[in-house]
Formats: sequence, C-alpha cells, structure tokens
Amino acid sequence: MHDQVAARTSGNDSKNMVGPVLKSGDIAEAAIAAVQDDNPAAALIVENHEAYVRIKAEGQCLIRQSTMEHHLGRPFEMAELETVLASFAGQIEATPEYMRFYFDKVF
Amino acid sequence: MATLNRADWYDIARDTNWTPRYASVEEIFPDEMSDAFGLTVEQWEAYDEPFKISYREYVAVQSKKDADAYSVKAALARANFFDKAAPGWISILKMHYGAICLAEYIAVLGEAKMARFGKAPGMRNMATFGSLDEMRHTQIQLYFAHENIHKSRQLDWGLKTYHTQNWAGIAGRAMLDDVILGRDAATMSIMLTFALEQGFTNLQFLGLAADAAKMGDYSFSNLISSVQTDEARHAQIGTAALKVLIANGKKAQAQQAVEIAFWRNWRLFFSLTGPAIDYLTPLEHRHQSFKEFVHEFIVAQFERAIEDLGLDRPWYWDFFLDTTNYYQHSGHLELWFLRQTLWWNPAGGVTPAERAWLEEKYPGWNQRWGRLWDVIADNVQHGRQDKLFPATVPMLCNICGLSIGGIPGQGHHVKGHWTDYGERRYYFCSAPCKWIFDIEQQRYAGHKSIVDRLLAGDIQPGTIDGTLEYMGLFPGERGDDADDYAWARSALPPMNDRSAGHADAAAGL
Repeated sequence: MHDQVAARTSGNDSKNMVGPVLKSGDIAEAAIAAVQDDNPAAALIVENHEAYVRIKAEGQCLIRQSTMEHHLGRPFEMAELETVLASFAGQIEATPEYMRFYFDKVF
Repeated sequence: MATLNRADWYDIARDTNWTPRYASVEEIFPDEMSDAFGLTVEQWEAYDEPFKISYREYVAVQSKKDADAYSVKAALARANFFDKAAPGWISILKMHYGAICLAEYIAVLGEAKMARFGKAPGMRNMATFGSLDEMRHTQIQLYFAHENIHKSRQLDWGLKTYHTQNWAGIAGRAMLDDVILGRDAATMSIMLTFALEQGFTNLQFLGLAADAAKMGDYSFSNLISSVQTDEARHAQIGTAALKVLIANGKKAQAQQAVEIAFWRNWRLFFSLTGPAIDYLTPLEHRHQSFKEFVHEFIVAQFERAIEDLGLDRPWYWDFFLDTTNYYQHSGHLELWFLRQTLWWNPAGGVTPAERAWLEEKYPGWNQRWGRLWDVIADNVQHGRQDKLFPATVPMLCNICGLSIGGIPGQGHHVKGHWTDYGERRYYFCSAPCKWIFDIEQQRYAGHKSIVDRLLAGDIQPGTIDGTLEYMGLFPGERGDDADDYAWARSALPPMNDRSAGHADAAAGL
C-alpha cells in the first residue's frame, strides 16, 4: 500500500476529498507544498504511490500559480501543471492564475 | 507589450458558431453524426469546458511532455532493462502495446469526429487537442514498442492486433466501434471521454505506472503516466456535455450511455489490467492489488464524479463491485489456458509466495482458484501435455467477446443469459451484457465472435492450427508460459492436502 507523506486531518477520509493525482517529481513536490499554503483550513492527505502522488483536500483544493512559483523558485505557468496532472478527483477549474478542484454536491 | 489574459479572449476566440448561409444547420450537423439527443446548436452554446487551454499553451505543454518521455527513454536505453526484467513483466509490455497502440488511433478518429461534428464550440476546440493527443499516444507507444522488436516479434502486435482476427482483437474492436466509431459526437463524448477516459484508463495507465516504477521500468512508467496527463484534460469533454444534456432533460438517455460504456469497458479492462497487476507483475514490485486500484480510481473517484454530476450509480453497481473479487482471477486462468492464442506469454504467477499474497488480498483465493492451479501444476509435473491446453473452444459472450464464466469450486456459479433474435440465440456473460444487446438488438446481431465464425465454417481448416493462423498468430508469436512452467514445479502443497479438493477442481475446469 501507499505511504502517507503528509496529513493534516482529523483522520477521516471523507467523501468530499478532492484534488490532483500528479506524476512524481519536482512539480509534484512544489504542488504538495502549495496545496498546504493555499488551503490553510482544509483537511489534507497526501499519498505517495511512487509513480504518482495523490493529493486530497476536503471540499476544495486550490493551487495558485504564484504559490507554485514560490516553491519552485522559478517562473511557472499554470498550464505547465498539466505536464504532471495524470488524473484528479472532483471537478476542475483551470485558469492562468490557479487550478481548483471541487465538488458541486458536498456530503 | 501587454497581452490579454487567456480568460479575457478565450470564449470569443473559440466561439465559431457562425450563422451558415450556404447549408442548413441540419446538413452541417446531422443528428447521426452530431447529436443523437437532438439538442439545438443554441442549447449546446451553454457548453462550458472546464479545462481551458490555448493552442500556444497546448504546444508548449505537449512539447515538454514529449521531451520528458523521450529523454528518460534515451537515458535508460543503455540499461538494457528489457533483457534483465522478469519474463512476466515483459509480457505486460507486449500485452499493453498490442491492446493499446492502435486503440489510441481509433480514439484519434473519435476525437476528430467530435472536433468536426460536436455542436458546441468548446467541444470542438477541446476535441481538436484531444485528437492531437491521441496521435501522440499512438505514435509514441508504437515507437517504444518497436525499440525491442528485434528481440521478440510478439512486439509487432503493437501495430498488428486490430488488423487481425485474433479473438482479443475482435473483442477490443467491437467495444471501440460501439463506444467510439459507431456513435455520434455527443454520445461519444460520454462513452469515450467520460466512461472510458475518466474511468478506466486510470487503471491501466496509472496502476501499471505505479508497478512499473517499483519494477525499475522508469521508461515505461514515465511513458504511460505522460499519456494519462493528456487524458486528464480531454476526458473533461464529457463532463461539460453531461451538464448540458442533464440541464435539457436528457438525463435518462445520458445515464444509459454511461451505463453501456462503463460496462463494456469494465469487461475489457478487468481482463487486461487485472492479470497484469495481480499475476504478471513480479510479487516484490506489486504496489496494490487490482481490486485496490479499482477502488481507488473507480469507486472513490469515478463513482463520486457520477454522483456529483447528478447522475445515478449504474443499475448493476452492486454486481460490478462483487465482480472486482473474481473477474480477474477467472480471467487470468483462462488467458493462461488459452496462451497459444495470445501475443504475449502469460506468467502463471502462482508460486507459494504469490499464492500467499493472493490469499491475503482476496480471502478464499486458494479454495477457488488455487485448487485449479494445483491440477495444472500436477499435469505439468507428470508431463500430461494434452491436459495443458483446452480440448474445446470457450463459450464467448456475444457482446463483450470474452468467455462466459464465474467463480470455480462453488457449484455451478455460471448463470445463463441469452436472447433469441432473428434466426439464432445470442449468449451473454452477464445481465449487463444482455441488457446492452437488448437495447438495440439489430445493432449487435451481425457481429460474430471467433467461436461463431468457427461454427459457421468461416475458419478453414477448423483445426487448432487453422484457427491460430486465422487469428494471425504464426510460429514465434504464439504465447506460452512466461517462465517455462517453473512455477508449476514449486506450486504444489503436500499431496495429502490436495487429494480432497481434486475432483471438484477438475470439474470446475
């Protein structure tokens, strides 16, 4: 089974966990850090599946372009996240400023 | 020079719904090509694709992906992974390329149909990129497959499978024709991009990528997860379409499209990805069981997506969940038994340590499938060659093209499902396959499985050799046990544990 590499949660993996599945590497590492900054109130779980990491945030998962640049230490266009975005839970909103994963119906 | 943000110009740039003057809208977008739901162009204008990308961004992103995949391949080329890897893993590569490469090409045509005939400008835009994506998938996977073709001609099946009458190729083609080539753009957006790409490609392209990374096959792991990043984008074509259809009172019809495509895909993916993950991947490199991957990507992720869009779980959902416990095991046993008809060499994958893993992941495995493998191992050990191959042809389902089976060793678990139509009786593996046939009997009635063809005399001579040649399998390509039956020499528990279960197990085979 996978390892949990980061968690900020009451322990329940709820039905409202959303977020990206990313090919492992430096962009994924930056995204893990960015998700923690950009979703300060959300319960979070990050699973390491070696080839990919699954990031789960409760309710909504936001990743800002500026936060990605901060953690990568280089210019980063939001569209570049697609190079590692292999799958995701929830619906997606992709803009140049941020990518957001969410559900319409929350349980 | 300041440039506009994409969000400020995107909608107007992709809105190509001009008012036609030389042809009618009906001529430009005939229902049978565009939209079996019959919505108007105006209704489709509400379509809002969630994953917006400009052509400039697309080219930049795709060139990064390709540079990444090819550079990892080049860097690892000297490692001679192919020569050192376990035979079961090599079989996975052969199975993958043969089943997938030209299926991607069929998806090129499907995406192109949506790019031309989709009534929503957003769909046409996303599907243009989707069609280019699928060209990339076809070409890059053929290229990777052919790297080692001088080491095994079985790898030529990357190009060959769908051009032959191999039974697995027939089954794959029938499914792809039904959910892609034989559908209008709107229906296809649900069947191809929502059901297949948001649901099932994750299993093969991320489940196997996880195992490949553990295996040290970084070239393949990187390749298929790169392919899946394209899928994650263009699979959203269907999400936006479903919202429009549901908003316009077409939920029941859309639900039916999801249910047809989900089931047809499940019937093929369990037989492809299931054995790869539960049997062919070397034990020490297995990341999760196939059932665990199904639960991660299909139950936790896809089922939740269905609910979120306002659709219902498919009517056969409880039955589907139950089949995640056994389809892959019966399927693997059958593929191994029919190994001459495959373009890869299936590994038994049932050494004592592997059996312990299977029993842990699937409690009761030994009682069900282990006993059958005991019989096979016993036959190997006693040199009963004639018993290592089937004496008769399997009963194939007239929808999915796979054999009709169930759980062995529990009495007769197989249930009969059939429909009489026209001059003949059509048999099915399951209630959902029969349900699909009965929705549109005329659509499916003309399709002949390899067994139908054999019985109709289409295959001459109707011998094993004649049938293998009909399937395009020539000496040097036909599958055999990946480990030269080494597992069978280690698989047997002490004799006194086995005698009790033997008669049942033999009956189950």
